Amino acid sequence: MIWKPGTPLPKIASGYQLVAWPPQQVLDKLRPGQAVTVTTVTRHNADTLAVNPAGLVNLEAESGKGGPVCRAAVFKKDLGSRPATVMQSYSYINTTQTFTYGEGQSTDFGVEISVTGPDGKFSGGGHTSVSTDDSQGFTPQNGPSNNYFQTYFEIGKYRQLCTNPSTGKSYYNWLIEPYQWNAGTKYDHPRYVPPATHCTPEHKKGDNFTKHTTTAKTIKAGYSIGAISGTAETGYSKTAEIKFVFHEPGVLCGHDNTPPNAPGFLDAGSNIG
Amino acid sequence: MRPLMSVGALLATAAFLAACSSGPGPLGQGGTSGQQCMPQPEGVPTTVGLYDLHNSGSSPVTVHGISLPHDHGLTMTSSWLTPIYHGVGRDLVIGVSWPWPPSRSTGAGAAAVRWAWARRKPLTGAVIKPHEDLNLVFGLTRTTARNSYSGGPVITYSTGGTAYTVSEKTTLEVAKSC
Repeated sequence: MIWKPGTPLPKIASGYQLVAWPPQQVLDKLRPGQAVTVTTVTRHNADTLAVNPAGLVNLEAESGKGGPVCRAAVFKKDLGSRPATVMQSYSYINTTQTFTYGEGQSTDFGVEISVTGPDGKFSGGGHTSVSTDDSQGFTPQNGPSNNYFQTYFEIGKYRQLCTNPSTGKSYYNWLIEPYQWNAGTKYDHPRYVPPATHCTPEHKKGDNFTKHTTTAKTIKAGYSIGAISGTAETGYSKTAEIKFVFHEPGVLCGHDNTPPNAPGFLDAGSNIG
Repeated sequence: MRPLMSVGALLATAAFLAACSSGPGPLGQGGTSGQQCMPQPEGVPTTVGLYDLHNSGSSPVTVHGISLPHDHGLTMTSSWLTPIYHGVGRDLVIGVSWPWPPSRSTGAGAAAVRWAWARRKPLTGAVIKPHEDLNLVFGLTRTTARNSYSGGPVITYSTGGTAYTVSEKTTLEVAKSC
């Protein structure tokens, strides 16, 4: 889970404890075989934890009494640089969609975990945050187009030795997660457009609407390693923005609310109301 | 000599402050940050029907007033609340850049705009029922040759004897060219 110092710590079930992973600037210096040094979080040290460039801390809830006991994760393998979708937007009329992934912007990724070996079955189990330390502009997308704006992240594989106290048996947790932003751009143009039904007419040619992505909608297949895919959600700061310039009258729609209130993606279309 | 406030005035001030809330009320927190820019010649009003006021509470909300903070070179007409038009597969607010007043709207989508505008009520004193959405609509005129800006509108309202304000986080620009 992601935590911003100065806000209340996440609530966790009794018997669990929070540990903080080091920020990406520490993780990206690890070599295969080196352990990830985590910090047990208390009320007293929470505000002294090292933060990533967006001022965020990656926390993990570890089971305490009675639950599995896991040692520090060990960085096992660098899986390379992979594109991850950090914004989605759609238009089926003549607009220009411009996306900027700004400095200090954070994307929250799903952590994929396997208890059946390094090549076993991975499924979602927690979140990690990676932040930019520079700004990344994307080429404006003109005309009708559906867009996944992607940038590159370094993905790592980690291993944790855990013990089930009731059986005494030990096993490995294998984790796959992005740990560093590499910049760069890539575009995917999906055919499927998710429904967006809360619409605002933009009646005049030249109207434009800019949205700062303080909160965003989770993208299910935000990044992929072979058959394994994790979620991605860009948010937490005002430095990423998506702008729609209307070259013809139309409507701008949000998925679950009108554009000023809509978290997540926007979709431009014709005004047929 | 420093003027003294009467006991009655002090009590009234204290009662007013006790009834104000600094936390978010049932009209929410004004969405998330953004900007709407509308190209419009100087001196010609344009319609702003961008904001959806949703009462998420279980009691009616009474709206008391509206202001445009940090405005430079803009004048605002009276403000109104209109219903949301439920079209086929989507809900429509009035939207932006229609002529002012919106009854003069023509072209694609204008029928929905005229339908909503015909059902308007003045913002001041209007009641938003629990779980109801109403569209905030006003006219905006650029009064200078330069591009004109303002923050998002600030709306004061009350419910259950407590006063609130909501500051819309989408700011406004009216420009010769956006």
